[in-house]
Amino acid sequence: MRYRVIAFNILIINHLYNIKCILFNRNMLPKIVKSQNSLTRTTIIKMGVRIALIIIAVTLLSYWHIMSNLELQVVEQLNKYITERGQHESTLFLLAEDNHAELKKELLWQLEKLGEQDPQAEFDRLFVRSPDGIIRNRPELFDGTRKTGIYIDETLTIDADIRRRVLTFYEQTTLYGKAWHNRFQATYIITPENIIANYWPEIPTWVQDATTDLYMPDEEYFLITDKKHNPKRESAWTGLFYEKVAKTWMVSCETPVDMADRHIASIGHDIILNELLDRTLNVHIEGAHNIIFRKDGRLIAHPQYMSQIMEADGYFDILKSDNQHLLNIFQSVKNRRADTVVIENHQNNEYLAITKIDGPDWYFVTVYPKSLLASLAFETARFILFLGILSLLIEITLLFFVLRRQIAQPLQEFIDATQKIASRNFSVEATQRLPLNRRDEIGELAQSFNGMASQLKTSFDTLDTKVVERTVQLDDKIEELTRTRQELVHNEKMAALGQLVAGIAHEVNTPLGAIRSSAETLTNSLKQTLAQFPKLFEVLTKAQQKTFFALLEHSLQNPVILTVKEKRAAKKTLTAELKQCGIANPRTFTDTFISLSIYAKADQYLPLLQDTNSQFVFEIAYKLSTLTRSTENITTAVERASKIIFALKTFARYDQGGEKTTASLQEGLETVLTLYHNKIKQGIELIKEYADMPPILCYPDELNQVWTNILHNALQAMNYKGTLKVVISPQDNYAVVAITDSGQGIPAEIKEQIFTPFFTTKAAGEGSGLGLDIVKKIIDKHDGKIEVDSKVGKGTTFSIWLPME
Amino acid sequence: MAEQVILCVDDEEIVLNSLEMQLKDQLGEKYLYEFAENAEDALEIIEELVAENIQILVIVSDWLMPGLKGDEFLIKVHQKFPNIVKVLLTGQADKEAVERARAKANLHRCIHKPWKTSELIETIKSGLAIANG
Repeated sequence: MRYRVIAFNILIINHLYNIKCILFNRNMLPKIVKSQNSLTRTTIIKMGVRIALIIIAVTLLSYWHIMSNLELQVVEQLNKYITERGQHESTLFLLAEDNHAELKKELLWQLEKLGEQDPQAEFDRLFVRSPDGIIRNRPELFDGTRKTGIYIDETLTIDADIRRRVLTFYEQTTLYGKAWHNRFQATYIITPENIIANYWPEIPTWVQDATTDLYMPDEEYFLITDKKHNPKRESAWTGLFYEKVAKTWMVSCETPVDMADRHIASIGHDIILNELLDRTLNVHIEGAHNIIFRKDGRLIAHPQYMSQIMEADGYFDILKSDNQHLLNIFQSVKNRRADTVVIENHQNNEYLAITKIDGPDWYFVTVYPKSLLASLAFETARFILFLGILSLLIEITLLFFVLRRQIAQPLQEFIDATQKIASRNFSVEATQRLPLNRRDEIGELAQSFNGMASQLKTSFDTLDTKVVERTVQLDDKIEELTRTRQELVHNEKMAALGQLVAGIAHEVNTPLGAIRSSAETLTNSLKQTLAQFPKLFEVLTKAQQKTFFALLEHSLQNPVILTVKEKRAAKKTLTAELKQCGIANPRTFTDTFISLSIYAKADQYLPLLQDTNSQFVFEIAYKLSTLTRSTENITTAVERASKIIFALKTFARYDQGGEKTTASLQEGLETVLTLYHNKIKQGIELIKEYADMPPILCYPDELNQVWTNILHNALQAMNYKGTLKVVISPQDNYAVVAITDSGQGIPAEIKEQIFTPFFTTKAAGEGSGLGLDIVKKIIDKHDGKIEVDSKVGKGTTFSIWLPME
Repeated sequence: MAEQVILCVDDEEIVLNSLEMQLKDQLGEKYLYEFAENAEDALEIIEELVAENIQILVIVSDWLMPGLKGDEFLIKVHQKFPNIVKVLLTGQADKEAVERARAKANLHRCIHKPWKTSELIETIKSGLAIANG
């Protein structure tokens, strides 16, 4: 029990300390914090586990400690107990022996005093032979509760010696028996002649009940006093035996009395089994049991084996029994070191507290199972464990609250502040709820956080200012870049133009040459014709004149246009015709005819041809024809020149006008083709398929740029030799311009990149790479789209889709 | 007398027309005049004329034409007919091309469009003079 108290105290102190620590750290009223559960929970779980482990360890330590202490304690206790008990038990047994010594002395003295007297009268007065032959007390005088009962064997011859002894024994036994009765129920004296003087008030009819069968000298309780068994003539103790007359189990102390070396009597005390057992079995340490056994292995008393002992008539030999436990006990006791009182019986896990009952020299053993200790210790340990768990729960709960208040809540405040700052809320409100006043790390953190927040604010402000600055700068740069880009675009245009200029110059010079030449011819021919006209009318007859003017009219009415080649062929045919008509040297005539655009049926003019003045006439006719032809030539040439100049003008326009105008796609394409005519005619077959389409709303100058760039690329791809096809057609709601070249084609890998600014496959200096980029931007401006279809080695088609509204 | 031909080659019809009228006007019936729009046709005509035993005296050719360029054409002609007077009449001629013609075709002169009548006639006449003399 002591241990429980100590343990309890220890634990209480421990937990009070914990609680104090927890309590004295609280600052503010608790707030309900929602989101730090996991942190709180994990901490609590961790702490809980650790504390639980500590509690278990403490419990185990306590148990061990208590156990070891208990063992010592118990051993000590047992020691004292058994010693006391031994003494206590021995007392009675020693007393028996002491009593017998007293009585023995007295008996001898009395007998000596009697000497040789023969107290027959007294003898006969008191005793009488019963019908069965046994001499007993006279019934009328005998009170078994107050007097000693006498039993004399029926076969015995009564002589003076017998009488003397019987009377002496009768008197003394009564006297002493009464005196000793409070400690011993029975006091008796037995003689070797089968006589007994028995003072036993509890069994008042003993002698009456004793039969002729009774022969005491054969009984153990007498045998242990005879000379054979007891040569030392000392008191001796029986084992447990069944007294037939009283019908009860007892152990007896018997002391032999010798007179003149003759065994005359044995004094006896009985210790009734019940008493003995009562004490042995019932008076014991709680949980332990007592056993008594004799030195020779005879079991006297054992709480469990009493029936077996009785069955064996008191002769239960441990050594002969199969009982291992008893054997172990016996061996341990026998083999113990001389003075040890408490020994361990390891096999049966028990303590044996051993003491001797003086007198009978019996072993009185208290068997104390160690499990008692264990259960005691266990109980205490359990108690400690229970307290530990209780304290654990309390501490966990407290910890929970403290964590919430100390950690979770400040963390939440930090999180809130962080979030506010993250959303650029630098107001005072953001950081005012931080625990700035705390003196611990969290307070420090709050301070730093505050500082950081204000720094952030400054940084952000600076950043904002800087950003605005930079944006302004960027805007300026963008403007610059836009202007530069526009310049670049214009430069592109001019560069393209530059490449064309040489060709254009040629294109213009050609018509100029034709004009100059034709103008001269015109002047000359006119002069000559005017001069010679009069002569003509002199020479020609009226009829001939008619034919002549018919010829002229024919010429004017017949504007069949033949190519140079065709004209040559016609010339041949005509010459052959005229030859057939019999004209010699028809060549000059055919020249004239051809010049007059008369390519057949020249025979109608035979009369003129056959005239003597035919040469003169036809010369004039020819000259007249040159007038027309020259004029025509000039007109054509002028138109050619204008077309080119117009195209040039159109192209070179630096017009970035913001409004769309309606313009004809065909016109635009033609303009560009004109500019490139010089390049194209060098070896390119031009195929034009213009569908009949209305003009569309667009930026015509910029579209011209598109055609120019694409055409330029196409021609270069073909190396100025091949086929160029230009198709204008309507599709869905779009006007589609498709320009196809028979050039080298665009490989699939590059196809994606061709619209990238500054991307070019040409060598440095040959092309800026902006051409298609500009095209794309112009098409985007028109909300159109551009598609590229290309096969390497075969050619490329650029299709431009322009929305028609 | 074998007929003599002045051959004009130019891809522009207006040029050929004006040349025809001009030459006829200036040089008269002394010569025959043939006209081709490109070198191929010109070569064809040359073959024909040669077959007819007609002499070609002068070739006036443009440089920038579809197909064979003027210089190449004249060089080719020169290989067969070194005696023909060869004149380049052109609005635009690659300097190297002209040099080539001079070197390999014995180019008599290169006249630029727009040409002066006098220049043209003078060139032809001088060329002929050299050829005959």
